[in-house]
Amino acid sequence: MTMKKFLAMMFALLMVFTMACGGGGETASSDEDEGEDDGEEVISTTESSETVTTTPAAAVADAATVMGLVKFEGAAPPVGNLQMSADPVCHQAHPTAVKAEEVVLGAGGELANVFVYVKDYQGAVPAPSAAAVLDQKGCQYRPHVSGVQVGQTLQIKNSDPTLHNVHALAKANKEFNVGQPVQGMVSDKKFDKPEVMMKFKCDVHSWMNSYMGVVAHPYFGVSSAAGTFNINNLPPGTYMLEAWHEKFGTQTQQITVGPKESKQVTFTFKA
Amino acid sequence: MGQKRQIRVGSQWLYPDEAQKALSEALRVMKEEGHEGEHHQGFISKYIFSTDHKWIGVQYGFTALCFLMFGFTLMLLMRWQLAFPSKPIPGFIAQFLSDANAPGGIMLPEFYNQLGAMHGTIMVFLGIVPLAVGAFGNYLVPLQIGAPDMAFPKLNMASYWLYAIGGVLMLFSFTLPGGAANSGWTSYPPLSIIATQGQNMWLLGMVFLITSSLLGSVNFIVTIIQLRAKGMTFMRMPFFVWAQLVTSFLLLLAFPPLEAAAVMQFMDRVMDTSFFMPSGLVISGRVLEIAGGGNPLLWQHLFWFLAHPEVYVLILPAMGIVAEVIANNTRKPLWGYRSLVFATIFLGFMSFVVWAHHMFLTGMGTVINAFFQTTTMIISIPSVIILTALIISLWGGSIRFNTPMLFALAFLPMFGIGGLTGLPLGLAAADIHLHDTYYVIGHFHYVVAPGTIFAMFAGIYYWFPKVTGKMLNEKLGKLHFVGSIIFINGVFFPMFIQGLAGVSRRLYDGGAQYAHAQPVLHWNLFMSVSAWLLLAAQLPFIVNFFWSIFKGARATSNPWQATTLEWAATTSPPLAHGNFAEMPVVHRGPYEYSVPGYETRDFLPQHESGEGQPPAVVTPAVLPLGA
Repeated sequence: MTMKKFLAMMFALLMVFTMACGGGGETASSDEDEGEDDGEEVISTTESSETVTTTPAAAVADAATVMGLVKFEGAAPPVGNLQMSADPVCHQAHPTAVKAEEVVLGAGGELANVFVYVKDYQGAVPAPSAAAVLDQKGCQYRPHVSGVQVGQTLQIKNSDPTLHNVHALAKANKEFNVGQPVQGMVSDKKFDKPEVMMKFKCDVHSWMNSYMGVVAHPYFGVSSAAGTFNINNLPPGTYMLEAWHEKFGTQTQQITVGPKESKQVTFTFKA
Repeated sequence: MGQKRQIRVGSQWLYPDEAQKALSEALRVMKEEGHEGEHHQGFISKYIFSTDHKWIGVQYGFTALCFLMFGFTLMLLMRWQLAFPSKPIPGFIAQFLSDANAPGGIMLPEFYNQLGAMHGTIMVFLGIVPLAVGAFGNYLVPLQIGAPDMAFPKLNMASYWLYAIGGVLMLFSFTLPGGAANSGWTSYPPLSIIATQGQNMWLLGMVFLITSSLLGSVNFIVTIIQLRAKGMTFMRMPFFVWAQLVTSFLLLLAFPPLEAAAVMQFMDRVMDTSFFMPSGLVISGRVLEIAGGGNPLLWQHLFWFLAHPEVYVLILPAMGIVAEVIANNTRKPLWGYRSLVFATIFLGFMSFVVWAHHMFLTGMGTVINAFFQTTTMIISIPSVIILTALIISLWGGSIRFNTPMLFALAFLPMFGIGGLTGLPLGLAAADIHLHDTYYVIGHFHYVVAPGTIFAMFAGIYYWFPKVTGKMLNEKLGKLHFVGSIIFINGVFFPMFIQGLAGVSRRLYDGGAQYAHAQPVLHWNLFMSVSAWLLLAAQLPFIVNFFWSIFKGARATSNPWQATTLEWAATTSPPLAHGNFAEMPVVHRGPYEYSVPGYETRDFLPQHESGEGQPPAVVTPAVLPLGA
């Protein structure tokens, strides 16, 4: 074999392996693959709002508002306490026992942490410039359930003086898993596809999880402790609303809203 | 033996005697015609895609030293994180690290994991093995056995370039999303199979590196068996050649299982097979959607079936180098040459039946544990024989304490510590406590760092004049030695203390979160400072290395008054092609030092007849580097 042939063979071999690798990387899409468009991670100490608010980028002149209430009927399921003693930092952050957040019910059956969104909105709405925030405080995600728009920046913050890893168990979007060893660390992320719901998990503290709805528009809300939610600036039209709860599943409801109408909607989940 | 054996010379197959005559004649004609050392080769075929074993050895050596330095810097970064967990890395260093790895200079745990995995991989597969086998073996084996080149020069070139490609793939993996491989140098599944893309590159890199090693090992075996000079019987071979021969068999027989395993793991990652993935695996609260039915322990068996013999691949060439340096500088024959050889062969065989002592905690069962515990105790015997023979070789010698000898002498107690601390790990009961602690790190680093790497330094100082025709500076060499021996112990000895206290080896914060680690955590700073000073101690070597190539004192052809062919029978550096002006004929063993009856010198080279008056030392001509 001449030197030239030998070199050509080596080069071909390298190319085949390299291509195999590139393809493999995509099909593998393994658990810790990081998104290519991952934002830079910066250290920040600024405090930010703990609740995610729905802020449409451009308000429509005759937009309507959906004002909703989520209720629960039936015997309330038992709610256990979170066992945080594995990490002294987490344990000491709570002087009293902390209830699990899977089902949070008000005295009158108001159901919190229900993500409600317009399922079939077809228009294009630019992502807001303001970032959504997912905080880790007292070894719990704050908020437990939230929403973010496709293309909107999500700031994931560690307010605890202990290591958290933020593991987004994404299916439509790229999964990521980043460590935040230091208090005050912030990781900026963006999602490029709608996904309802995406689970966030800390693999260090197994009780920590959070759910986030990624939608292509700003028409979503999360029920508060009083069971209420608002969807603002919704253009008039007929839509399918979907309400999601981590334990009780989903419900849908068709609504029609007129110009500047305030529409009352109620979802009722049952055990 | 060998009467019917034929050697290919040019287009002809010849018997050894005929071949030797033909080569000698060809060399004589070349010399007369003034072609010696210049074959009208272009730059590329001479320096890039060279088929000359000496230049390939130099290529291997330089590349491997660069990788050793790179692997060393990865460790220095890790030591910052261990000494100052989650404190920002100083800015002038942090600017080289991306925000994905160290935002604001604070090292992320996943980056620490990359550093750990790649430090191990680079040091073992891209640093020490290529240096010990690829560089020293390639350069010296043909010279020591009196061969004009390796048996398969093009295979030799392919071996180097496959190694280079494997190295580039490994380095490139740092630029992938998620960074380089981060599942430890052992790449245990299931973790490695769900890991980031860097693991794909690691596996591909390993396939290239293993293929390179296989080509090299075949070449060494054939060369040593077929191309020995006339009179160079097996029992007249320098111990270094024996060490390389046994090492080559280990590489040849142990590496294929890992190559197969690497391909299988690659398929598990990219083709959704499940060779190593069990059914019903739950990760982060989710059941993995895989075929399942595989076994993670299968990987561990295949990996350690390579990786334990690999330990001897790391240490045997080092022992070979130390033996040469000790014999030369004590001016005595090696004590127990035959014992050394048979111990080495026995060690080679035994190294294939001890692998599962790395797996005592996998629940193999007491019967299997007892078997591997027993074989592990048995394999310590030949190791002790080798070390003992080397120590006894010092007895009564008029020792020359030059730099190579200092490194060779330091090898003995350092390898002793490394070897003896391995015994508790080989006992299943003790291993329950020590497994995966810093004790293990201390143990194997004593074997390969102040052990093997010190032997490599001994070899570099010893054979540098042979390769370059220049001497390394002794003062800088001794400065290098003193700094290295002090600080390397400062790095590794406290690991035994931490390990016995139960500090796990894989904690990105060095155990800061664990109550039981607190009493021994202060050692982290001590070890880290020692590591950084160890870097400083290498500066005299780096300066010496390059300064001496250009400005060093000229070396005679045999500056150490050595007996072996590479020193006594050829120039420094040897002829570019063919190595020897006349093919040597060997008359005796390799260590005829302190020979009585000679007034002007105390040694008798292997190729001299020794009859009548001792002949003059071979031509003192010195050729410039690369000639």
